Amino acid sequence: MSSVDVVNVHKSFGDNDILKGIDMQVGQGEVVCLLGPSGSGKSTLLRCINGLVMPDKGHVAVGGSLIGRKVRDGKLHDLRGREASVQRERIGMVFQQFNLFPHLNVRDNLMLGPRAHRLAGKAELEEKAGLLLNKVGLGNRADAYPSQLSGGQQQRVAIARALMMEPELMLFDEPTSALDPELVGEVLDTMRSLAEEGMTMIVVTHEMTFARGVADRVVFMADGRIVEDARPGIFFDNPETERARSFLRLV
Amino acid sequence: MPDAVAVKRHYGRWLSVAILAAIALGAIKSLAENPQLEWDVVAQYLFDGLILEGLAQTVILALISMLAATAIGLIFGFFRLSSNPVLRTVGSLYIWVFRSVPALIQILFWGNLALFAPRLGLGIPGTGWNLVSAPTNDVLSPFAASIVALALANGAYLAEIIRSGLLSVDEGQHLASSALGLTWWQAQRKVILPQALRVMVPPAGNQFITLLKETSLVSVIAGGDILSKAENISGYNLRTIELLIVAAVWYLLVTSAATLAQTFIERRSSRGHTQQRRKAPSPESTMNEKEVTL
Repeated sequence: MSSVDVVNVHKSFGDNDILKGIDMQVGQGEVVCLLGPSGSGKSTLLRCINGLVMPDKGHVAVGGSLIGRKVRDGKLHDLRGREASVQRERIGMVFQQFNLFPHLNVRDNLMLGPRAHRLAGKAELEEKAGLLLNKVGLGNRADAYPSQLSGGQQQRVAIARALMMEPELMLFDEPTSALDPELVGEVLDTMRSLAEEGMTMIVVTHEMTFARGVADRVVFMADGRIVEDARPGIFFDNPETERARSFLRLV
Repeated sequence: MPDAVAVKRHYGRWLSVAILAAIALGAIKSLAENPQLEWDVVAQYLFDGLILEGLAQTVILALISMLAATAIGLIFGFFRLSSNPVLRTVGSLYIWVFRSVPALIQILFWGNLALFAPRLGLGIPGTGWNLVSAPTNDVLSPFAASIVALALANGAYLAEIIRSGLLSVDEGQHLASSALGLTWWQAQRKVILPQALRVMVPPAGNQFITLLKETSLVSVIAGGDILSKAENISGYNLRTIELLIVAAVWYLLVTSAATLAQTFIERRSSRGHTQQRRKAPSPESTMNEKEVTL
């Protein structure tokens, strides 16, 4: 059974058609890297998967349940705010700009989500936050505020924050694009170990080495469509389309 | 070539301080020695029972109006930012009307409501059916009318202050809150408003001080504030200026207290941001900070 089903997803903002019919499946424990030139719709697709952006047509299902919508009278209807929010508990997301909460220290950043959903008691969550911070190598920074951390440290906190919700799927939106070159490695290492533990991951990235080394599949997008969907070895060494070849020549 | 940098001498500053001090001394001296002003009358009335009563009324009026105005401002601030065009329009209309009409007119209007609406009630218009109804003058005392008028007039300004605070929070914070599965209200309460507060506190403090002094306008409907009391007293002892000085001294003291409170709230609401703001202390910057806090 696949973990993520994207079926005929269309999305436009005004006159701008961003997604022009996307079909994609991601299996349990699979790591998929989304590649493509900027403006090809990768981030929008990622946001459709956790319902931050709602498709104009088509649907997304995660773990078999429809995201942000329900079927009534043969049409898709929006879920109420609270129902849609509850669905996102199961899907972690990491952003290019980290988006940590600057007014809260690292521990409270981790605990805000689970506390809002009353997933466990305070003491239990504090212990869990400590364990996850150790896991991303920041066990001693629980009391620091985000502004006191480097970009790489902030992004690792952001990953730990998403993991606090025990997600069944992790979405990464260009997680290393805002980092200084020497800080990229520490974030990719954290993601690599997450992949090795069997987390289902969809990663929008420009890190070709990571895609080649860690991804089970590479999905290449251009102009709102999926152009290639292949194992990384095949995609990088033997791309089928001219569009992919010209992209790979430039990166 | 020497290594030592010469200490800057600010001769101009010392000269200007001397001139300003001379002017201030002259002004104080002429006030103190003015035969028309009886300072013992000022001292006598500063802690007068009626004056203190008025002072309490002014402070209570300002605090309750500010709380109500903040609640109103929060609702209409969110309305203005809503994706719902009906709410957006309602928000804009409220701000347009209540910011355009002078506070004095609004106070006179609410204070004299009984002139054209003798009874107030809750019911369905046109049917004659009323859930409750009472004479306007019983419901809307001058004090209640003052609060309604000040809260509605200041709520319009606070709506704009709150809106600007909400707008100052980065879009990524909304995305991160949604991605964590927070509901709209949870996101506002835990993530957006605490950060917006940092931007909202300075103009909101400003608004509170304006409101504090605006309470003096309720003397036109016998609101019982400190200025009403001072005018009552000077009405029979004819010490107009002395009693105005008494009121002015109290306004000065209460405003100073409010400024202190604002500084405290500002420090609390900027947690997590102090690290970025802290600059290397140069003599110039510490001088500027002192000037600002004065």
